[in-house]
Amino acid sequence: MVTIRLVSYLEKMAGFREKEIKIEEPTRVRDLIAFDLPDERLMVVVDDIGGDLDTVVDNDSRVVISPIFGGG
Amino acid sequence: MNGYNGKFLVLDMSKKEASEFTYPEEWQRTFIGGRGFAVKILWDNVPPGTDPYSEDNWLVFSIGPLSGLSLPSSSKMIVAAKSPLTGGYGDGNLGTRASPQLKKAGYDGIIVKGKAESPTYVVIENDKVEFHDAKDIWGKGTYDTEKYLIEKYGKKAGFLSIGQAGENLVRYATVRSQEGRSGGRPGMGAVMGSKMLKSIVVKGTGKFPQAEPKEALKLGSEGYNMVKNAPNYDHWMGQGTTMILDFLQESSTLPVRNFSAGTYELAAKVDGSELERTKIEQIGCPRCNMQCGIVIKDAEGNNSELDYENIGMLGPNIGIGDLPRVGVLNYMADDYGLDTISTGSVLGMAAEASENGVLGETYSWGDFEKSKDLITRIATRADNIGSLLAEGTMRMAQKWGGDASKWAINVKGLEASAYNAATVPGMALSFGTSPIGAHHKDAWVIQWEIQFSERDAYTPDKAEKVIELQRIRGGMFESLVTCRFPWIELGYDLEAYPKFLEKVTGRSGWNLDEVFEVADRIYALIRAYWVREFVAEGKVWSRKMDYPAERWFVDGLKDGGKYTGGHLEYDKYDELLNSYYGFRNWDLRGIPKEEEFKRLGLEHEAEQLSNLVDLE
Repeated sequence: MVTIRLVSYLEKMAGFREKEIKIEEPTRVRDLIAFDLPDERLMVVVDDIGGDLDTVVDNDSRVVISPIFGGG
Repeated sequence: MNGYNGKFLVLDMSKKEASEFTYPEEWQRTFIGGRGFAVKILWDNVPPGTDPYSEDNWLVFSIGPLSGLSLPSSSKMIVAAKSPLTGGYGDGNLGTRASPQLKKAGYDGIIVKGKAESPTYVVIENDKVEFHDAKDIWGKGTYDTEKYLIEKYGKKAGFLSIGQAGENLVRYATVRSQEGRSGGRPGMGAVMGSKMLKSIVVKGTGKFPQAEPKEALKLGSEGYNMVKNAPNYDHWMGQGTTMILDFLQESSTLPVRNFSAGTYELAAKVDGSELERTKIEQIGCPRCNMQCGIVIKDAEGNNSELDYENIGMLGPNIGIGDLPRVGVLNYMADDYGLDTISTGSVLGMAAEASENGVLGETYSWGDFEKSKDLITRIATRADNIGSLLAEGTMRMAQKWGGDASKWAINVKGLEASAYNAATVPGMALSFGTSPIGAHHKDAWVIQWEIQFSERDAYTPDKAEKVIELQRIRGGMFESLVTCRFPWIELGYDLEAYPKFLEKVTGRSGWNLDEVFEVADRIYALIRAYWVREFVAEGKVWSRKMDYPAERWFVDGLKDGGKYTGGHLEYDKYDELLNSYYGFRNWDLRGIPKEEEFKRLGLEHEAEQLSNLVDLE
């Protein structure tokens, strides 16, 4: 199962905070996203390593997608 | 050069006299304004080793060529002085109507020197300056003070005031303005209080000095439109800076129970979504269309304006997971004129001291009533404990000794902003090398180092990134002086700012590289100022001054998910610091090399510094 964790206001956009998706083969993050997310100003981290929406993930991966923040 | 008035107003509080200080025109190119002017004025005029509360210390309010103009979020002002909290250079910025009013009154800033014999406030109306008896407002909070001044001088005037914390010389008292804006974390409000100056009122009727006002206005209009049409604008307007809290929770970088832990079990009760749900209004600085102040009705019925820093420090950091209660503590701190970040850090340390039987009374995590009680005792220095807490975490640790140094989360004496850097070395470096102590203003790199570097690494790319951001945030924005949020939060084009400079000053050729050279000059002079003051006071300056909080090295992080138990390592941090010094052309003590001073045109300052310390 791939775990997708959406941070901050992305949760409201997608309607969930965290969910698990079973995949049959390695898949791009982008193809796991069945909802509209802004393409720009996103942080994608897969298993604690920086990636992007085209990073390929496998079952057991944890994907964190966050808006980009400036840090105040 | 256009864009400037060419002079500062000087208020001599001892003589109750006003005069003007005309600065060399070349400063407009070499220092731009704001922070650059402030540090140059302090370097030149405040004798080495001056007591921050003596009449010889100067308090400098400084605006820049872009301040107050019709461009996104421009109404900012720097307030700077030798800090009573750190003993080094201290400053902060605040959004205030005083910024455009001062420019229209014909000044690029205000210098306050001397010390009045009794509480005083000053009214500036163009070239007319009056010193008034402040007995009716001395002892009042900042909200009542501003209300009093508004009734007398009208809502359109600019106000700069202190609360009881500044009057009582709390070392982290701020300057307040516009019923909600604060600035000057390292005790700038206390310096103002030491001069018995309660408030400054500014009204100006002149024009903004601009070379090409129509072109600047057009550029500004485009900027406002870009901000408003940014893809994340609506989300920003919903939650403001607090939208970051959920990210910090996810990445185990929240400050929880005095920075001992990285996640908080009640985070969802105080995060951006909860803030948005309970919001009653939104306020911000003049000239801003992305207001960051989100107001809730707090647990006692006040309208409390919150942002991430005060939620992080007065919520998770002291174990309070209830937004309306956080709002009360924030409202109290704002009214007293206390810095909310340092207040939260001091309270967190006090709770840990109580746990360890050192405080002398009981104060538990999450104790709302006791937190209120302590805030009042701090602001009024009501008793020994209140007065000790008013000194800040560095002095609390010195007083208590033993393990207390681990509970003091500061750099150079300034308490860390609301980011737990135990497992993010780049952010630790940012705190370590910030020019005022552990503040996030100059560089925030947590997200970058997780996404684009290796989180655990101490690699040179992190030092480069910190410097890149320090040049932009701490150098450019603090000297222009305008808010960084349009760029850093909503993606407004950085290249727009040199263009604004050209249109406003009439000097062609401004570009980011030149601005960044100015930033390097400002940083070098601020560092020289720190070293000069330390050596002049007989204190030891060493690279350890650039170490982040001890806790982040010696205590493993609690509740940090896979980062539980994680901490910084001294030898690796030293390597990272060496990289930083190398990129800056500073020596291994963290002092700019002689050739670097020369590159930046600071030969005279280097010669002055070399009388106190050998330069490489």
